[in-house]
Amino acid sequence: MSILIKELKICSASKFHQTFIVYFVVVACSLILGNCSPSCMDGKGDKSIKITWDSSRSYDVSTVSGGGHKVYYNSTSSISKTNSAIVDIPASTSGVSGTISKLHGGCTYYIRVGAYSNLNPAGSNLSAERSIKIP
Amino acid sequence: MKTQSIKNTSLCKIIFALFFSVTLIWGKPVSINQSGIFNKKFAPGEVLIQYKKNVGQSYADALTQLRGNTLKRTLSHTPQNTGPIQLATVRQGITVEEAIAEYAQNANVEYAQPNYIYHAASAPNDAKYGQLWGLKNTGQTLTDPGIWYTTNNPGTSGKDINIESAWGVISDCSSVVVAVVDTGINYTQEDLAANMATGSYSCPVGTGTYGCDFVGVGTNNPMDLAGHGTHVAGTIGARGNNSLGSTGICQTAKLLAVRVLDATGSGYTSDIVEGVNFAAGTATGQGKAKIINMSLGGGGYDALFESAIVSAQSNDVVVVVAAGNSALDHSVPSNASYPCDYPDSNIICVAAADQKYQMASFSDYDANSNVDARNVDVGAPGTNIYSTYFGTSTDIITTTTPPYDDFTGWTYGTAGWAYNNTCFTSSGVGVASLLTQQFCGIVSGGTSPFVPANSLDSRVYKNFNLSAVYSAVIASFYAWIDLSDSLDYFYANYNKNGGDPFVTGSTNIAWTNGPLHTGGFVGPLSADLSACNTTTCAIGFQYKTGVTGNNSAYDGIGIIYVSITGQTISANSYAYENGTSMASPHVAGIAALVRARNPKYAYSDVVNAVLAGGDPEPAFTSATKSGNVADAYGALKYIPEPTGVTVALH
Amino acid sequence: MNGNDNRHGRLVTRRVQKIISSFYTICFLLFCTNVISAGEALQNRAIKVASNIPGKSIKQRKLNEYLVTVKSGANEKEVRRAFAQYKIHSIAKIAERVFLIVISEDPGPEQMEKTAKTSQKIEAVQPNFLYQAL
Repeated sequence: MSILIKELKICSASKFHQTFIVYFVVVACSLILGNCSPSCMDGKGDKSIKITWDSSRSYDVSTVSGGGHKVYYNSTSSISKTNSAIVDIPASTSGVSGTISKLHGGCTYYIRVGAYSNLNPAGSNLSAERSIKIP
Repeated sequence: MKTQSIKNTSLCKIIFALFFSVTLIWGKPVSINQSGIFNKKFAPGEVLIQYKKNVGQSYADALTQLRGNTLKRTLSHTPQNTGPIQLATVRQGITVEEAIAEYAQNANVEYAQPNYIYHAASAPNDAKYGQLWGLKNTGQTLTDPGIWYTTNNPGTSGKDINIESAWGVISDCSSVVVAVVDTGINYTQEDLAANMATGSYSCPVGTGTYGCDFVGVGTNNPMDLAGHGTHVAGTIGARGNNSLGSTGICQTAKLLAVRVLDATGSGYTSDIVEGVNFAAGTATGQGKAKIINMSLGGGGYDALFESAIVSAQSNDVVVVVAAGNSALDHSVPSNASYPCDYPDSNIICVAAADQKYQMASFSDYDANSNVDARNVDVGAPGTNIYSTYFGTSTDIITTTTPPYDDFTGWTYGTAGWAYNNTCFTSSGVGVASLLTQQFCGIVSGGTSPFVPANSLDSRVYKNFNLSAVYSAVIASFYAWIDLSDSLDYFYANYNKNGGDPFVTGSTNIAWTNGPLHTGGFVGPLSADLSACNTTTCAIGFQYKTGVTGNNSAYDGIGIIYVSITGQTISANSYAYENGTSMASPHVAGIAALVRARNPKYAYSDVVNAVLAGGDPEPAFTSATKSGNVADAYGALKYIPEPTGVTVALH
Repeated sequence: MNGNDNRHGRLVTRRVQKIISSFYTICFLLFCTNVISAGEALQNRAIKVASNIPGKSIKQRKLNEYLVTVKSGANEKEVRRAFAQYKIHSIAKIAERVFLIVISEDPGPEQMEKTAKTSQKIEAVQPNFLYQAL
């Protein structure tokens, strides 16, 4: 660490390098810290959560093969289908629950559930958002 | 010094590189995708890839072929607000499942799936299927006699409810009873008989097989004497693929006949409330319908009618209704039409679309600036609709000018009425009329010196021979009415004993009091004269003024175009009709398909499927709540949002 | 010159270090404190406006007929009693607690409503409205 600072001192001799140091430190800082410590979504944790939902009333979701649910989750709120991780639970596996593993204690996760079928692979609108803080 | 500078410069670059690389690592979501087991048949070695919205064509090409798979083609028609959809052939040595897992890991991919095999429904063999533009619009020109809505005929190919794709999923609605609350159903009609919900129904009098008749006292025979209900029923569920006539949206169905409108298409609250309660009822002998179609309307709020619809909602029944045929905007309070405008969430109110999916010129709509407050929900085909019918009408009046009476032989009971055939003309020819005193002078714009006296009671009537046997007899006429105050009345009556039809024992056909100035002839005003089946059925008109009040020099009544027809039921009758009445059963049929496919759906799921599954159409965007015209396949594709989501530590 | 550069360099470095540490602090405050969200997405509830204008509509009704709703526990007798003055011709049960009465002297809907209010057992009275096939 001290070596780094020493090198930083040397590097910051010129204004050009100063600007870049500031830039990269700011950017790197915000990115690192944006994912907090630890990185909640790095898939390397040892915690699991179980999500349950009402069985789908749609015949094509729950009874026709090729139907199922997807659980969308992230460590920031306002989940959408495009900004989150996905766990796919086909109906043949379960129609009412799924687990997400490799999560971290100390993190809060936000979850929404969507349903899909052969007729409609893009799927339904997402459910209301739920959250859980893992201790 | 110099050496150290050089050393420091390289070290700086390393440090910068380190920081720079940090910015690349974070930001991409880790997508853990567990692919499932695909049990349904799919094309071997093929994968469909849906790219995200901002992915361009050439980028998609590159991504698809990244790992050595072959791009077969890009789909030409894709939904708005999505990226390209590409069909790829997977490379040697990997399975479809593995290829899907690979694609799913790419952040630019929305989803990847097998290329499933579907069996498209081929067109049914019904003789007149080609006329059913609402089910399949090929841009066909409808040329049969009886077609009078000429705007946008032919229409635009593709502007239809996409029924053939829907039939690839389901075409049999017989697990869902659909009640047609209307003028009845001609249950002998060749294209309907096999699709009736036959049973043992508790009717006002006796037990019914096809449903019940609630008009007036009621009977156990819901035969349609007007044609309207039969036409609606055919659009929902005429038998499909039987080489005959048309086909319904449901090729097989369970249609329940609930007669609440008489042979002239008129009915009252009491009839309708009984009918709706019967249709939605689940007790023994009741209808047990899960969909009700009501192609009818009236202009005022009716607490008992709404209450019946709310009761139906507690039985999980979807109620599909017509918006109205007066081209009115329902956001204006005085234009309200019911049941369309009741706020209950089990109601779907339907406007009419023509062959180019413009709004039909006669259709009501709702342009409320608050979209959620709009009462008209969705559009559906409603012009030049071919369907099953009740039979034929025969003129009974035997005069020199059928089908209208020439007003000879009428009895002028008291002074006041007179015959006139010069006051009104049609195509240069005088029209026979019955007018109250000096009425011609009034309507010609002049001021008659004659002011009707108070306590006036002027009657005019004639006996008709209505003993011939018909299934129903209908009389109609047109009237010009000028009444200056509420104590002045106009009545039309009949009496089966002949003579003066304004004595005790007579039956009222129509009436109104003032103030009313129709500004012209209104009509046809119709009445069911089936009970007047004697050789001396007297029909008459009465003008009464109050004991007090100032009568105007402009007061009086004019009557023209009196006709009487006999209705004959036949088993192979079909007709073209126009109206929001025809649009409503398109939606009822779609609702029945959705309900049959999804037995666990609640009424709200069915309503959401119909509204959300429709096709956006400019003419309906600011005129309906959904902005859509109904689409049968879209409604079947709809999936309700998951509910009851809970999360817990595992 | 060198000495000046070094001193200059050390001063600049110190300033940069201060900037870095203040940025670090801000970053920490912004991103490391747990932002507690609402947890539940707002649900879009559609609100339907009822267009109910009793009395103002030009609605046709059947002469001499009215639909009477009685309160819980009341029956046909109460209906006869309440509207006797209009000479009831017939009474028919239409639904649970709802009767269709045909009277010989029709005073009009407003008068019928006034009469209904004088009875403890009558919940509502309305005309028998006319509907048409569309």
